[in-house]
Amino acid sequence: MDRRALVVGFGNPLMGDDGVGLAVLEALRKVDLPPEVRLAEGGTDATSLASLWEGEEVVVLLDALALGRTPGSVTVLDRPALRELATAQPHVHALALPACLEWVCLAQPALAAAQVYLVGVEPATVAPTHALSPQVVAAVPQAVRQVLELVSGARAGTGE
Amino acid sequence: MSRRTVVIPHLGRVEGHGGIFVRIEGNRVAQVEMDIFEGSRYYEALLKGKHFQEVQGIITRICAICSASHTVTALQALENALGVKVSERVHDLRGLLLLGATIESHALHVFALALPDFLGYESVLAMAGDYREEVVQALRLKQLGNKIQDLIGGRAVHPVNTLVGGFGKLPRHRELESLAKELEQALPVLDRFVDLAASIPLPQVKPGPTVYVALRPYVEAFRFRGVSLCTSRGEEYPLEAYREVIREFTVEHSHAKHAALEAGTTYMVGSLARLKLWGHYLTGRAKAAWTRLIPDPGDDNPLLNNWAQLVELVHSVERALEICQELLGQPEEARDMVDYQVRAGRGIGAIEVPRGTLFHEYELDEAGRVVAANVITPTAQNLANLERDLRAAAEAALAPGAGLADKELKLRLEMVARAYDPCISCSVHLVRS
Repeated sequence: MDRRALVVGFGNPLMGDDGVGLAVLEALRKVDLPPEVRLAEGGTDATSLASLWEGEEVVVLLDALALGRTPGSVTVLDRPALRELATAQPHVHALALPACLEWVCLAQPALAAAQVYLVGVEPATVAPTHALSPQVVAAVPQAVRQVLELVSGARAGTGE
Repeated sequence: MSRRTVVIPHLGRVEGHGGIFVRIEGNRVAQVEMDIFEGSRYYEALLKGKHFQEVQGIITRICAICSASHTVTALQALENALGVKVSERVHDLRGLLLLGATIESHALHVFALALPDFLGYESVLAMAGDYREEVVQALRLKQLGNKIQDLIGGRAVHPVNTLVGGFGKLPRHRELESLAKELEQALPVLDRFVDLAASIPLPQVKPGPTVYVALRPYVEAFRFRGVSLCTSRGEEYPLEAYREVIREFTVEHSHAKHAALEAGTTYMVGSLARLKLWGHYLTGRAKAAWTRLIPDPGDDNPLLNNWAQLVELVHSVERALEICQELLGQPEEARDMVDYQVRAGRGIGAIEVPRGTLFHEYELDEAGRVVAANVITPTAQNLANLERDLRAAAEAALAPGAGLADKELKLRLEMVARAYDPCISCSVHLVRS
């Protein structure tokens, strides 16, 4: 492959399954990745993407994704699907990842031309604990496979 | 008698932790409660038994936006426990790191969360249709804050270069020169934001007299490092007395601890508190912004905290520029660390961070393991006062002639809660449908 890819893990590892994005990132560190793939940690503030993105053609975001599905379900969303979440999501204080992504794309129009995906894992427990739930632990290899397919161009996100 | 209940959920994103709950009976506000997740007790428990060098890696997880603030405060407490004295350059660099955190935090809050309310948009994205340039510049300012933290802390999100005793790696002169250039370019952008803010009439929320609390700066200037704890009632206490001055208590309806001064007096910490106590120390553009945006020194409208943050944003850019220039006047060196011996001890750290006064206290055993930890966040200190102001806002909405419908009342309550910039939702991050 010759497309450069950035994979960013988000979440808080001390808040149970909220940390799944970082767990998938750690699992990817143990995989023999092509040199065009760069891994980064984004913490709990998705606007950090503005500083992390260095012109990669493919951007894969990793995070917990609460869609009410069975815990451990892995979902790949492309940017149009994420944009729908950006307007639907209620918020009082903070900006969620979909809104942050749109904000960053406004400020950096070149990012809007990149292929951006979210690989999300349905959480079982988001509460003060540093352990992932068994369902989410079991989902990490599947999330890793989805990332590898996206960065290799073997598949595109369909919103499902 | 008519009864209605206004509930604002999703204030925090931790399951089971609600938001704002207001019960109105007739023309009377019967109940105002705010429940949030505020994680300091959890983190304190996690720290017990850990070696002091592991503390930073844990406490920076409290919040991405606040990680630099917790880092600097924890280092100060640990160094006090170990009897470590760092150089003035280390203090300056930590100051610069905090200014970066302040720029990032205030830019996010004022521009992305408060301004859309005041201008009548649902969100910062909705605002972009009419204010595209402002929305883009807001993110660039936030990135500037990130860049400072990246340069000084070693990375933007969770600093790794900041250590007990100093810095493992110092910024190079060419990096400081490049940063100084960007800071200079940010000043005219901020002038335009001050113009915009000055053109917006703030809704009036009058909660009654407020007591403000902030640290006295270590020099006679507007600074975030302090030497004693002061109130707007004229009291001044040594930092060591913070546990007697700040009385933490639990309430049935909230998972977070609340705080009050003696006799249950609630108080406010944060940008507005700092300006009330030390605004006269401001200089330059920040001073001009302060006198323009907060012309009445006796005004206790909590919504002014948004403009106080904007004033501090201007100050932070100006002060960061000054520190860059001071550092450029010193010889370039690779690192700045003092040697120290591990010993048993107890130490307190207290720093003015973006949301207010942050306290960390650690007791270490002779091997440097944490025996006890205490963290009091600005959000925990503000909660009781915030509930008071929410009640005032709800009561004003019921006053004759006001008659706000539920939707407007909800927005008004959200604006009051947001003005305090509570750190409630960044401790988790998941995306929801």
